[in-house]
Amino acid sequence: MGGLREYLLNVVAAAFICGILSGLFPEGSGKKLLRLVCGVFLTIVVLRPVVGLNPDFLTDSLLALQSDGSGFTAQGEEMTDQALRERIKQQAEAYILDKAAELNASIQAEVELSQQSPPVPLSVTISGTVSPYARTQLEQMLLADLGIAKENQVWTG
Amino acid sequence: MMKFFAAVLLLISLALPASALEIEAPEVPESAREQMPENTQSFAEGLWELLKKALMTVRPDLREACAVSVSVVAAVILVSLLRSFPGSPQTTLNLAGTAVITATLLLNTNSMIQLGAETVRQLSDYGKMLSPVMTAAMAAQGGVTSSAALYTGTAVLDAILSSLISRVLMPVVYLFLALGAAHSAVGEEMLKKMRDFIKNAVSWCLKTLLTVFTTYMSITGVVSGTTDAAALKATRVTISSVVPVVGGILSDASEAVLVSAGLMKNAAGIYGILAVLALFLEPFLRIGVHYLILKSTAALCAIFGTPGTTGIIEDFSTAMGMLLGMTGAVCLLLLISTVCFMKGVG
Repeated sequence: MGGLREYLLNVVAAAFICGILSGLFPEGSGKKLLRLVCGVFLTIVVLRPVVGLNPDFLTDSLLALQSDGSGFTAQGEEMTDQALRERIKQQAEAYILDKAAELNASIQAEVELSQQSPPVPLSVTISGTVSPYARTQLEQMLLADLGIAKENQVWTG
Repeated sequence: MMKFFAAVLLLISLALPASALEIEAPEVPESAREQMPENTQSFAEGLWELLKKALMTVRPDLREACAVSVSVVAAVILVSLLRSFPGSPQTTLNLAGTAVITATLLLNTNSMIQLGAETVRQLSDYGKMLSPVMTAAMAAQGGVTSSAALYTGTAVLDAILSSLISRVLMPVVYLFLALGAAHSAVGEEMLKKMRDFIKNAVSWCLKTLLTVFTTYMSITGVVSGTTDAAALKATRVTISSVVPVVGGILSDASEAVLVSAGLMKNAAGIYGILAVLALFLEPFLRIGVHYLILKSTAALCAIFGTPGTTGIIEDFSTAMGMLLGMTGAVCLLLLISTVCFMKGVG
């Protein structure tokens, strides 16, 4: 703020000096010259801070803002990714439980998703009591419908 | 059978909350909390409530501005009466009249300039909190390229505009008034030209920055929006190419997440717009009341006052107009950027 006050004081002082000089000078061709000189002087005083601007500072600020923008965008993407993973996991598990219920099997299923985008079911851990027939049917369903390979199907309990 | 499962999955997906998606606009600052409407979900209702509350707050300013106006009119009448006496010192009366009117108006104007500066600072600070939220929300809805570009544009222009206003244009209003008073007192033409130059420069700066901003936002919206729409389409194609049931799950989940993100983004955007207006409307109306009263006073004084005394009142009203322009420009910038973020992808 100190620098700004100094700048404004300089502009006001320069304007008053020019005003006084212009008032004191008699009308004529000399006054026109004086007005021209005053105009140039005032322009220099007004534009002095613009000349002193550092372009590197502006570039750095712009780069910092771009970096901030990318950071916020990444946050948004991460939020979507996390929400999407939660939903896919819940829906895949609900689908398995629904199929198991059709086969009169009472189970719990825990699906793990791949890290790729979009995430797909990679493996499943199933616990509960299942008849051999139901298990075979479920194993086939997991492979055919959800793409979970047999070696990634873990049966416990 | 597949259709049945798809229907079951869709129902499940709609019932499930998108728990990972938590997008909320930053809370409105303490100073504007009273102005904030009860219902922030409906934009129309919120806006109506905001307007009613803001209009209630301008009554004291209306009384104050009227009282000052009466004092100024009395001073102008007195100066005109004294000048009408033969042999009265015209220059001295002009100087004295200008000094009295300036002193009467300066106190109010100073408090309005401070109010304007504070409003610009608060709006800018709130904008700095709102833009990241809207950027993340838009990216969550699939507008990755658009949101980054819109954020950069908003942040750069907001930083330039608020710095320019608080560091240069607000102090320049005092310079404008000083030059106006000096011109009114001594009648020097050069002072008038400098005063007019300042007025035009302030107006030009604000118009140019807003034009640059709106142009940038329009172009960015179209160009980046197309990129994002293409990226979303590519994702849909990828999803449809996987195992049918998994594809169905992915498609439903993806759709539900995007819809949730869109709803949250819009809710945050509406709250953000109402918060910006809550910060802006009261000071804007208060300055506006002073501006209108000063304009009316200048028009009234033009009937019986001297050009000098009427001119200085005009200058004070122009200064208020500049303040309205500055606060309005910052508010408009934030509103445009929020609406651009809300507009969505594609």
